[in-house]
Amino acid sequence: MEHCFDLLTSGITPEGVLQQLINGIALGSIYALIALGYSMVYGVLELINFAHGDVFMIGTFIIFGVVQATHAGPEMTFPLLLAVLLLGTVLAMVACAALGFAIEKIAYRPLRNAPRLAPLISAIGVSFVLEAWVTTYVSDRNHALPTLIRGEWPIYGYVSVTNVQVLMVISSILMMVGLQFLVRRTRLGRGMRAVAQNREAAALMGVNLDSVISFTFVIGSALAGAAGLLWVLNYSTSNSIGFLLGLKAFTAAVIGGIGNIPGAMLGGFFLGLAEALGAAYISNISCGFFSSSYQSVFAFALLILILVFRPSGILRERVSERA
Amino acid sequence: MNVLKALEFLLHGPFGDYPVGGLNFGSLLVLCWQVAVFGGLYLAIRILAKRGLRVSIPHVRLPGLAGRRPLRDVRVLLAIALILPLVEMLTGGYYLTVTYNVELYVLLAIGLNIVVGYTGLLDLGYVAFFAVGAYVYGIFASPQLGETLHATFHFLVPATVGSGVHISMLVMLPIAGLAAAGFGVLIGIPTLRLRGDYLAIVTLGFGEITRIFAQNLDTPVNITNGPNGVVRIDDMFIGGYSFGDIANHIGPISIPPFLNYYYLVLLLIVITVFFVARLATSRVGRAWTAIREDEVAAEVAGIHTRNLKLLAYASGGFFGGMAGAVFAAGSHVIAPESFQLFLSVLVLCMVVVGGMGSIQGAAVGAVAIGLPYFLSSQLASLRVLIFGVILVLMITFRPQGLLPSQQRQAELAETVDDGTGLPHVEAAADLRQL
Amino acid sequence: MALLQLSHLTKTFGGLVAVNDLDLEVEAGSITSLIGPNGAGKTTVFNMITAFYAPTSGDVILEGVPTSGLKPHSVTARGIARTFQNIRLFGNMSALDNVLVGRHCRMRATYWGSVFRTRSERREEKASVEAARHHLDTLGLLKRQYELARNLPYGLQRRLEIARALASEPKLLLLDEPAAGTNPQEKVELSQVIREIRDRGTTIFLIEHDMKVVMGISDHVAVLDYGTKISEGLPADVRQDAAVIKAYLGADA
Repeated sequence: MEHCFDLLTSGITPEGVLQQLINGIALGSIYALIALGYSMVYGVLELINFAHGDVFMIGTFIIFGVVQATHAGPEMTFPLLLAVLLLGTVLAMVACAALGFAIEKIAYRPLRNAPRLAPLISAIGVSFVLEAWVTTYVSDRNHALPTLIRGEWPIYGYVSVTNVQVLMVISSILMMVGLQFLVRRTRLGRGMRAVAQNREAAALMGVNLDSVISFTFVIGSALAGAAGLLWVLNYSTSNSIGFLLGLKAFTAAVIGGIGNIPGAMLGGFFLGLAEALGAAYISNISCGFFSSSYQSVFAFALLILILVFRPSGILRERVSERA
Repeated sequence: MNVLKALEFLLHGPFGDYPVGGLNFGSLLVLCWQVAVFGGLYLAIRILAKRGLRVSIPHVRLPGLAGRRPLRDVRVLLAIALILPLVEMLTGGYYLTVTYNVELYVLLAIGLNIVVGYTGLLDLGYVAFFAVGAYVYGIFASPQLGETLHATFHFLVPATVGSGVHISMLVMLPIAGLAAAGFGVLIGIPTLRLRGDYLAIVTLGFGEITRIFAQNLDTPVNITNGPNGVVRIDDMFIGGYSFGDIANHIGPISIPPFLNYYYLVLLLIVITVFFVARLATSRVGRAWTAIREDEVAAEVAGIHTRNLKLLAYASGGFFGGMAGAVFAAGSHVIAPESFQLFLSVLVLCMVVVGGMGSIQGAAVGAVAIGLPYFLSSQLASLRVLIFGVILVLMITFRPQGLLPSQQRQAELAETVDDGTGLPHVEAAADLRQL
Repeated sequence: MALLQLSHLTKTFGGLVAVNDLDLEVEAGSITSLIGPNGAGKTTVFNMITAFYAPTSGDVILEGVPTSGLKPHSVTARGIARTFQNIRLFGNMSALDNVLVGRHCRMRATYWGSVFRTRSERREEKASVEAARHHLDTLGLLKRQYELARNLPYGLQRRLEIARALASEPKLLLLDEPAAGTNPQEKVELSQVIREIRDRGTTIFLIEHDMKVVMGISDHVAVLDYGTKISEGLPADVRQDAAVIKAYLGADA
């Protein structure tokens, strides 16, 4: 037990915790962006779009491809580099949006009135297709970009925030604000909210169901494409990241209360923090029983706990008896 | 292999020779080809479907079966299953492994069908039961347990224990099953309030957690031997008869180990079907179906929904656990990567594609998905791609599955409601004939 | 002693008082009706009787024993069955199977008994099928026993729900708007059936909007408005009660 107490405190420094907090928030901003796609689709269709994580994965590969094709590197002048990244992001967003549109049309629309299990199976099928396609025709290995954007800001002691991390957090917040505006202030947004409340009634009141649902998929997928940029700037990508990241993002969406846009953001940050701190200190907390190889157990356990004990999320926008 | 060549052309067109496998131009060309070819095909099918082309499963009527549907007739299926490996051995035995794998999946699909098909609990973590059964058998029937005991309590347990505990399969199979059933109840308790997609995600999480634990439980005490897995697992044996002995023979005919396992799994399938079919038309099975249809109404009708749901998990887990034990014995080695989420998904898809809540449906679904899947193992990731495409197409064109159970009930209603209005006692008896 | 006794029954949802200090007795062998404007809290009362909601305070007392702490299925086993305002049948089961599910809590067959078809299981199953057919016959559904519940017309679905409830051999049957959505002819038949059920010894407690049905068959009527009982008595008396008229027609009437 003394041994346990030693472990509990050893290796935990203020700097270390602060650094994990910063890393967690940066990671969380990506979870948040992907979570939006899950949240919006679930809000409108009550469907877990299992393929969403893979749409994101394809977004990362598109940006990666563009950077490689243009031989962009840190030695490039900043405006040129910015142009390349913008081009990549736009391409990724457009491609992901098109993909999301097609997926809905092919795999979900024919099943709108089918038994509940059917769209879930269909979603799993699409997820397999996307991942296996990349595995077969693109790559089954890890790919990491060189550090394109350098520079960091010292915060405290040896702790610092990189420019990339700043970019991640700011751009994800901007996108979320934009989305909030879209949903709250525009006609299509009103349609989305109406469909989320009651699909039949919305259709009876003249909301074009098909176009609202398509629009939801397009926006959610485009956001996943944008998240792809943020991901490849900081982490490596591979054919298999889609599933796990998707599941984590879904967890974030659930934590924030599914269907709730600010909630998805909050859930993303929360999960990012929990994971960063958990992975760093799980060994201390569990007296050495759990090592960091249990990292993904963390997200799963959190997901299970939230779904079991607080299925409407921490913000509780709507009571989810329907689940 | 001309079939493969044709398939390759269909998939890649003239661009198959481009060096795919990196981030390059070749993959883009392949993508364009596929979008053009399959997009066109898809649109064509959709347009045809709109014009009234209906996709239905043809009713194959074999002569001598007088109107019976062979796929629904248990006796026909059983007869095929009995002679299949013998026929295969006579013709070279090339597909024996595939047959055995598919058979194992039939067992899993029928077991999962209790949970998903009858009770309506969307379980995406069935692999956990399979894994628990496999590990329980593996740890007991290999040097693993003895070595760990010796390493942990070396002053109490001599090194000689290291050769493993040899127990008859008559004991080990039920133990593995019961362990998995208990695990099912453990998973079931916290998830009782969840339904639908949320339940699917939570069970999926439990499945993954199980695998991650199997991967990491080599410290602090070596239980699962971590990523390396449990090795040197005994074959099943009963009395003096070991399933792995290549010298087994009946008269002059030798019995290869494979055949033992094949018939063991077949026996387990028969037992499972016996259980499921009888439960389905009795108090317990009706309660399960009622829970699937409307849990609130079931509770009000006087059904102890909590216990019956746990019973469904336990039953499904029991058969999944026994399948795991057979798998461990047959392959002598188990490792965490044998218990990926993909296995759960595969089995669930078999149940859904076959038709939920019908035994024949689960079996047919397992064959319809498992056979092409295991036959095409040399296609590597391409087969997952094809599997995904087939899955989406099958489910979008026939969401109720190949052999749904409702249809059987509807058929029954047709044949019985003959206008006389008299009660047909035979019809109810017919439902219970199994 | 009354069969069912509601004593100071209160239910609040957040700040909203759905049922307020309700005292009510349902005499054995009677047909008692609970009426009131929409949102008066009638279904909430049913939900508390069947243990779907735990009362905020007060007791539901069946045959002198409080039902507090029981799960809904145990309440059914104790002898209270109910139907729902929006029909909740097991759509993909046959009418006969629906009623057999209703008999669940009166059957004793175990898991192993079902698997091995023990003699007692077979005997019980046979008796249950007979009993279920009897209930279907009472409700005029015997001809359609093998049809899937979801394929039955609306009026028959309402009847099937009653048959399912009867199958649990209740002492008290709660009917939540049994006449909703049925035509005048069906209403007459329904009233007849409800009386028949009562005459065979099952006490009836019903929520109903159709005054013709309520006044025609009830022995006793209680009126709920905003969760509070505003009147109670014989149908004829309640109809004359100024408070009731006011609740139904507004303050000016």
